[in-house]
Amino acid sequence: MLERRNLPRDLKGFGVIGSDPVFSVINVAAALVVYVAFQYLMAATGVYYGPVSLFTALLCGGIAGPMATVMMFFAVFCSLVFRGPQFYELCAPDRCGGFKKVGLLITWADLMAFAAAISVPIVSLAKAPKTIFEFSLNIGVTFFIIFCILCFYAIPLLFLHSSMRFALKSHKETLYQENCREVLRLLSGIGPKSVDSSGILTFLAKRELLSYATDSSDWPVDYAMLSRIVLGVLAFSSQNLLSIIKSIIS
Amino acid sequence: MDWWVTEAFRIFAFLLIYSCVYAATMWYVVLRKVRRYPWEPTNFWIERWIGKGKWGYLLFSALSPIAIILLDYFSMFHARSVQLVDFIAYGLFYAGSSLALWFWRKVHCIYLEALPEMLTKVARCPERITHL
Repeated sequence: MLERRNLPRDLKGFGVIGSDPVFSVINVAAALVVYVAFQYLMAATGVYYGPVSLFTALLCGGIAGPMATVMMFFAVFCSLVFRGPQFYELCAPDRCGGFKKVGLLITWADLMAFAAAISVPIVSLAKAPKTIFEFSLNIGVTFFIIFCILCFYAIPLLFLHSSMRFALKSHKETLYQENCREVLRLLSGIGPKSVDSSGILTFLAKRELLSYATDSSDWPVDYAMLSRIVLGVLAFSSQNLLSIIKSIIS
Repeated sequence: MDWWVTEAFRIFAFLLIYSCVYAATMWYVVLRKVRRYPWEPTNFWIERWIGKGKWGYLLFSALSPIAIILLDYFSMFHARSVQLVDFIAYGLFYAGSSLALWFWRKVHCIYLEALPEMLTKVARCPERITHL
């Protein structure tokens, strides 16, 4: 159970990874341990990867991966805590209830993970797998990266969408019912001269809000953002999978 | 099932489990730290260290992959000839790494922009959030 007074501290805590060097160094060190373990196993079969490979592993596992994971958790946390019509601002300029920045955040975090992982095909391009273990490592890592890129985007996106859809639906239902009541009140046999101007203004304002609710989106990202991710994943998958298929055929 | 498929699956499973355990451990550590000391997110730490703002970090993200490529070139290719595929690999590595380093900072900057918008929503929360 969370308390309101602790929420600002919790939300700010997600920024620790970009603001505090200690956590970044720990992440890089953890990625280095995994890299060394795999390098040790490869060395037994006479395979050696150079500095480019080491840097790629640290970039993916120690920098881009942790950052994208934390931003994924931030988006999921926001979608769970800020779930309800009171958190969805109908008059927000982004027309997404004020959640568009979080959508932008997960998009860029995913693009970062994708850009870091572009370097992985080097292993396939420059070094044809010499051993079966090397080949398996290539496939295992490739699928893990594709899985991560999809998760970094799909999980927070679906959580946010679910939260926003619930809020927007509540807004629409409430506003529709209020609009209907106003219409019935205005048409309830009272003569035109007895209808006061404030009543008409209230009716028009609610009608405007209903049109905002109808026009607003329950997705935190638009099609342009989504297409970047889809193209990125397809490009990465095709690069890697093509080399794997070629290796299987040959 | 072939041996190499099983091995690939084991590597995939290892990476997945390791990442989850590591994320959970770090989550616990960060929560303890954040609870103990009041935490305020600041500018991106490498940018602070370099001290030249956005342009300093841009230079860092553009130059550090070049340094790695040179290191790799002189450590790996002094014994054999350089082929076209090596240059393609270096090109891919450079594009991906420099972009990823730049996006690293960008993601933190977007987080700093999104944070105030989320903090304004806190005021509308109930005293105790029980629906989690």
